[in-house]
Amino acid sequence: MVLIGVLVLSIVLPDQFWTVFREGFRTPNVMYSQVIDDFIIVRSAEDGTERLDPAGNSYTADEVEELLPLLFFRQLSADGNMPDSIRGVPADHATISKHRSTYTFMPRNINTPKPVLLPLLESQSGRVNLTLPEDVFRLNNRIEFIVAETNTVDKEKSIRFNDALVDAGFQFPARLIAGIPTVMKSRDEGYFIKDNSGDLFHLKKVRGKPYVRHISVPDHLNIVHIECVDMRTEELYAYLYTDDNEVYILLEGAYYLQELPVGGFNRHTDRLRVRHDMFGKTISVIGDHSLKVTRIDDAYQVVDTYETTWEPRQKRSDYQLFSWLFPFEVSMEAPDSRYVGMYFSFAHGFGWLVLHLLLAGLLIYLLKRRNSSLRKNSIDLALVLLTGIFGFIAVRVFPNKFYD
Amino acid sequence: MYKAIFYKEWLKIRWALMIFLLLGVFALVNIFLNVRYGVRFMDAHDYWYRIIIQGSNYAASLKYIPLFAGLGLAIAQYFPEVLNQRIKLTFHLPIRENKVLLMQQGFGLAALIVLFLIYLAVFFIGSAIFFPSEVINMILVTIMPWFLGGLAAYSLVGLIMLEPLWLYRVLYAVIAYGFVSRFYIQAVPMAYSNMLWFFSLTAVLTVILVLFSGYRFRKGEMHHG
Amino acid sequence: MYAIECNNLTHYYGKKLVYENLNFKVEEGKILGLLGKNGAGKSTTINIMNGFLHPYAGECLIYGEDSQHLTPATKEKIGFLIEGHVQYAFMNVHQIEKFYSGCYKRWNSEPYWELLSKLQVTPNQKISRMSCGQRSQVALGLILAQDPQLLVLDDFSMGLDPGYRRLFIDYLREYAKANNKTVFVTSHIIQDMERLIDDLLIMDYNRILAQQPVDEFMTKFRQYNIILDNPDIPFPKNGLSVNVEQIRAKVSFYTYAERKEVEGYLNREGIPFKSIEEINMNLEDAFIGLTGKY
Repeated sequence: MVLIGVLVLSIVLPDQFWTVFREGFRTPNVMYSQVIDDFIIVRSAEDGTERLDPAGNSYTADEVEELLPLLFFRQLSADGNMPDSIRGVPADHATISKHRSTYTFMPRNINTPKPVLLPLLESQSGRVNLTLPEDVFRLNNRIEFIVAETNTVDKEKSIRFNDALVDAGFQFPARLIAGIPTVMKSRDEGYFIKDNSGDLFHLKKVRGKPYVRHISVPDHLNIVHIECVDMRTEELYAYLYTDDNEVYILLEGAYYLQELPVGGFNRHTDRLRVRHDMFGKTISVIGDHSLKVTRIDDAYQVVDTYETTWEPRQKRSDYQLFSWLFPFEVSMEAPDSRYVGMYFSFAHGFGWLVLHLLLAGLLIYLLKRRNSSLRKNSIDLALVLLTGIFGFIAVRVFPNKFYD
Repeated sequence: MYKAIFYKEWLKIRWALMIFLLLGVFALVNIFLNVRYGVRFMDAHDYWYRIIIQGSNYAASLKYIPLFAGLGLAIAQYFPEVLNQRIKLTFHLPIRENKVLLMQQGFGLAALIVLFLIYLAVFFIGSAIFFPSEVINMILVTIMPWFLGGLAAYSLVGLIMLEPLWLYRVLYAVIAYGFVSRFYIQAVPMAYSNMLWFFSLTAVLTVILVLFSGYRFRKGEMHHG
Repeated sequence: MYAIECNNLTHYYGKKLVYENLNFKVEEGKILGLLGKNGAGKSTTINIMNGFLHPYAGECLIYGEDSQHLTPATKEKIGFLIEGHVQYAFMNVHQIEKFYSGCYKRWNSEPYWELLSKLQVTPNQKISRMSCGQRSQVALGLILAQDPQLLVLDDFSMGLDPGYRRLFIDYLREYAKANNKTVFVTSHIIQDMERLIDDLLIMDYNRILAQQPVDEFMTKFRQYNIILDNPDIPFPKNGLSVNVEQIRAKVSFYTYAERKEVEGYLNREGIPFKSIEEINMNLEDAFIGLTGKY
């Protein structure tokens, strides 16, 4: 029972600690300026916000806005500072905003409960708005459409789509499926499915009929995660993540797999941010204490890179304080998963040893005061030495008197 | 002797069981009336979309009912024993003390499990009318922690009520609250699917905790000053 | 083998001593009464005997078994009346009989229903809704129906009216003697005890004041009323007397000594007295005399 106490305390006490003491940390924000053809880094420092370029030159907030017209075009227009063209290309609002989008990936996207059934929308209904279909489908060893109203399988439709998949070479069972299962998008591109052989298939419903396209994937690429995006420029369907921590984009039309330069990216620990604009992309790989930014152009060629690191959070004062109090914590959430679980992590640092010794000493004192034998309570003492404040409280709460 | 003990426990809990059975069935019927409304008068596919893609849980109103059933049953069982220290009568019966405690606890737990199975059966049948198996499975996994929490709450309340000293009762209650609340944190549907085995295990283990309090009672903790 | 045997029982409540080295034995077939003021240690002893309290030191054996670890077989032989006639009050008289009959092999429901026939209760009346006296009868009836070898009755007379108490005591004594039952009782009502018990054990704070058969006690413990010549002379409190109560010239002198010894003692102490008279006491008088009025 003491163990339950320790477990509960190791969840609850650290949780409270973080609520009180957690220091946020803003990772530096790196953007690319077409005006100076270089990066602009905005980050927080002791005395406010720093705005620098890689050479170390500092800029004011206003200057930064002028250097980033693709981002601040509305403000600049309002101020009358918006240039008519950038790099020789006319810069009007419509074009700029059409090309501007940001994509973010977080490690916990991989470990997330996924919908058990999916709706296959009509891609070309002729209507301006997308509507949900009257059925959803399940995909395991075959595809089946279930009509919501009646909760029965639409056999005819299921067979039609199943045949279409088989004819295109789909090997059941499906391994991965990804799409955007909502009507809040500009158009519907159906789903991308990875079959048993590792190849990709594009599945859509076009004027009621199945559309299946087989996308060959090189054998050495093992795709483990797919995220679909809805881009107004119709450039790409999805981001693909492989076993080897490579990232590809699936280009629309040609179904070409274009690799993105994300050197060092680890999908389990790093975030990925891709900022699209008229002239190319700024790709940021954000790790625990490092940031690597790559700028590529329209032809996916690397133009420039930038790297920086900062103090790992383990060294920050809130983590340090933590390690003086607690040897470990158990959390029901984790940064890399949306599943509830028991996640155990050690404190960084060994300051808690001091506290443990103190608590053990206190326990010995209390035991002696009550004339209890030390040997009989040795398990308790060991527990306090190991688990510190959790053990101490648990041991005091659950009285341990045994009479024989 | 088993029959006599179970008879006594039954006399204590039969009303509580009846109340929770009615309450639960009433809640479930309500749930399915709402589902029926959702399917018929909203567009069925819109309603499914809310559940499958947006994570709306049609069984949400059931959330705390297993918990209250566990609490209520434990109170119905142990309050009459703790009043006037009547547990002395139980310990005086010609049967080993730990055995009789486990029998009582086991009976209550079994009754609670049967109650929950009835809830789940009604839930399952109702859901099967409106939803395909994937959805039923998803919601079942989502609501299972609520039932496990009810079982754990039952055992822990037994422990708390039987403990002779108020100070420790309060301390246990605080820890018990911390433990049981872990079963009910708001989360994405299916979020607990990896954890179910662990929670089931701990919920079952809490059953024997009551022996601890019984032991302390018998050693006369309240008389030691 | 003794029915009850307590050796060197010592217990503290916190830091306060309840008693030290309490020793007593109860033979089978005897009826022992435990008398004492509130807080003297009666409940402590009962709790230890029934395994609801772990003594600081010493042991208590019931039919040779340590009372802290009584086997079910032994517990079956013990009928226990809890102080306050505590019972499963959520049951009614039928349910409770049904319950207990399933627990005890030798259950004989006759004496139970016989006792209950004297009560005015409806069949479905819950015990919680009965009067104190009615509850007592139910509790006692259950014990008789259990047919135990050893009866431990903690304050059995509480809530009973005098007529019923008298009836029960006579019944109990006859039942116990006829069947060689051992009985251990406590009560506040000393006159009842006088009719019932063979041996007595009188407790006071921290110690045992008397431990002997009743008749022996009644013959040996005496009260003498002494009229003093001179009330101003300080009267010795210790020595021959167990207890002394003085109101001006009138002294109540409680002692085990004989009259001659008392006279001699007073002379030696230089206390002139006008008269000395032996008073007949009943058990209640003797108890108060022994323990004091406060």
